[in-house]
Amino acid sequence: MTLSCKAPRRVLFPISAHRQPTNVKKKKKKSRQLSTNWVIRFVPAELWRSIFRFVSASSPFDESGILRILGVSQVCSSWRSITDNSPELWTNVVLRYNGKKKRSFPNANFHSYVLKKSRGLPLTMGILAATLPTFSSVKDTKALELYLKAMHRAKMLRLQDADILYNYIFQHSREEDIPDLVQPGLLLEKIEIDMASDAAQGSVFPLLSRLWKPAPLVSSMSFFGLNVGEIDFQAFRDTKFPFHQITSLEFNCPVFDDTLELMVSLMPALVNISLHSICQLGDDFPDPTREELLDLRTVSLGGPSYITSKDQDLSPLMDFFEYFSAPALTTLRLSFDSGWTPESFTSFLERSTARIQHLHFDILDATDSHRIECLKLLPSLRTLNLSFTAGLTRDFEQTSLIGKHFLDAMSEWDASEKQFVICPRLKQLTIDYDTLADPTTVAFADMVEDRWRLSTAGKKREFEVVVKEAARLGGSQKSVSEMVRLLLLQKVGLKLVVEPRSWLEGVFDRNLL
Amino acid sequence: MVILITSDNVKYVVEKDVAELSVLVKNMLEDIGPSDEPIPLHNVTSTVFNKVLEYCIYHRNDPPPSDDDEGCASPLHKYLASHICSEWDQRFFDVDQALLFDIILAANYLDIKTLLDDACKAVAHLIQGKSTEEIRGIFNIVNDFTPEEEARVKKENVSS
Repeated sequence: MTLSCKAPRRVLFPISAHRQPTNVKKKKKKSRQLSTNWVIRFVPAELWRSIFRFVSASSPFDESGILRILGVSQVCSSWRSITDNSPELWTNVVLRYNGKKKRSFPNANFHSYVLKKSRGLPLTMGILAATLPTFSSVKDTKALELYLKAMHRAKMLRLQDADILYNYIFQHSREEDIPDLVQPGLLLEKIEIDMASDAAQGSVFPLLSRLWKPAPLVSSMSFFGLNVGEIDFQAFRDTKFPFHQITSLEFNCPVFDDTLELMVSLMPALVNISLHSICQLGDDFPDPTREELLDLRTVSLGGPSYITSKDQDLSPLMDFFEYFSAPALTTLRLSFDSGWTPESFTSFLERSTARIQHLHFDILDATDSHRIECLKLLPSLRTLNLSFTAGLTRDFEQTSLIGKHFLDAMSEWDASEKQFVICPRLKQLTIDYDTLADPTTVAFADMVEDRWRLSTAGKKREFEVVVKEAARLGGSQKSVSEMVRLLLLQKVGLKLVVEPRSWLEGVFDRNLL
Repeated sequence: MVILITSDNVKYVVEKDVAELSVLVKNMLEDIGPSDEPIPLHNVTSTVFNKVLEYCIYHRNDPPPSDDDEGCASPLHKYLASHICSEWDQRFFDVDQALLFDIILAANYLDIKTLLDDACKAVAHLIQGKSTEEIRGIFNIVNDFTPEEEARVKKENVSS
């Protein structure tokens, strides 16, 4: 028999195979039952090891993966042997104080078992607490001490609340009674920290700082919690944290403007920086001294889950551009805020001679005019992402949706220059389908078609579109107008990615339209 | 076009880019040079190869897998990679267990990393959220621990 394969996405059947009449009913598939221990006898250990890696996968600082592997290791002696010989399955280790009355303290024996299983591999370690534990007896501190002893093996460390350490230190009546547990973190690459209360920092940092004396590989810092201010920064500075090594700095909480400026000034090697929001210290804040960050490539202002608090005086995020110049900056993520003004941005662009190539301008709260204003400043742009990731609920004002004004501007053609007026080099556009102001028209697809047809480089058209949130298409004929038109363009060559794959694509694949 | 013959002697004519998703086939093609000779796939039956081919044709234009999966990726990256699976893939792996393991063995033999990873994810999905006893039932595995080992296992559970 010969099987041939010519058409895409279709398995062709034997050329000479006996053809069955089309009206013959298909036999119902029988589900084959695996015989006893078939999977143990015929599936090699190396494949089970791969499977168990996926079983153990969990988000960082989540102990559920380890608990699943513990369950797997108890199925049979064969799986036990595989998990025993796969230390990488035991490396995401989390010490969690759950705050419940029963078993509120982690079990030291269990953590000792896990640390042993992970052998000498680098660890992802987290000390997390739902409520702050109070260590009333030596027994309660056992697991934490075990952790502190193993902390030098951390590649990634999250200290959810540094006050946990303060309470531990407080349990000892004299400073000299605190065991010398923390060794230099020679493998440490990333530290994530929710700062201790101001009062606790004097005690916590001398203990914690042993980790970075030295930590030659540490290059990433991440802050979360209420906010980061000068005192927090000073605690690191007093304990000689190697700021000069940091290439990636992330704030998942507001940071005070003076602290931000100081930190940036001590991190000349920064490549990526991500800011949640900037707290204003006062009106009398002096003019910033502008640093030149030669290696800075990526800036994210108001990243995922960006929510501003109305209780705090926040500076416009754009003010961040006042602090530095970055000639190598290529990638930018912006979230709109009420203090939006393109002036800081314009001045930054002029100062930096940066050529931004990739922009994610979150759809949240920005209007067509803001988008146009921003894009006019970025003629080098190659990719533009307008999707929503800044908040948690998809609750947009009508004015922030992608409307005709924006689409017209994007379609505007400069006949004398023979290029589009806005973003003439744009190669990829990403949107969420539910952020089109009126999906009953084909205005978006018209703009896409214009840009696609005119984006010829040699014989190849270089413009592609990514449509996200396609599951929000809806079922009415009108609401899918844009998508139908885009899929028709895809049929004639437009590179279109729809995420997730929509039911409409299935209809197109089957040529039902 | 490349001619492949499965263990039950079924001949397939497959486009080269699709066939070369298998590192085994790719290496064999490089070794034999330009030739019309069919390539035997000793360890794969036509039933299983039909599924393998269906996957390869659907994923022929996917970007090649990165080396990140081999250990240098961040835990978050690994976690996301372990979950992201398209609707098509979910439907594709919605088969009986025997066929699912046959696909894994074939992907391993043919050295098709993405298929192997996706099939392993599908098996991992069967394990996740199940108790030890349920896992034994799903895969028809006999508990072969000695009473002493069993006692140790129970102790581990108390500790965790």
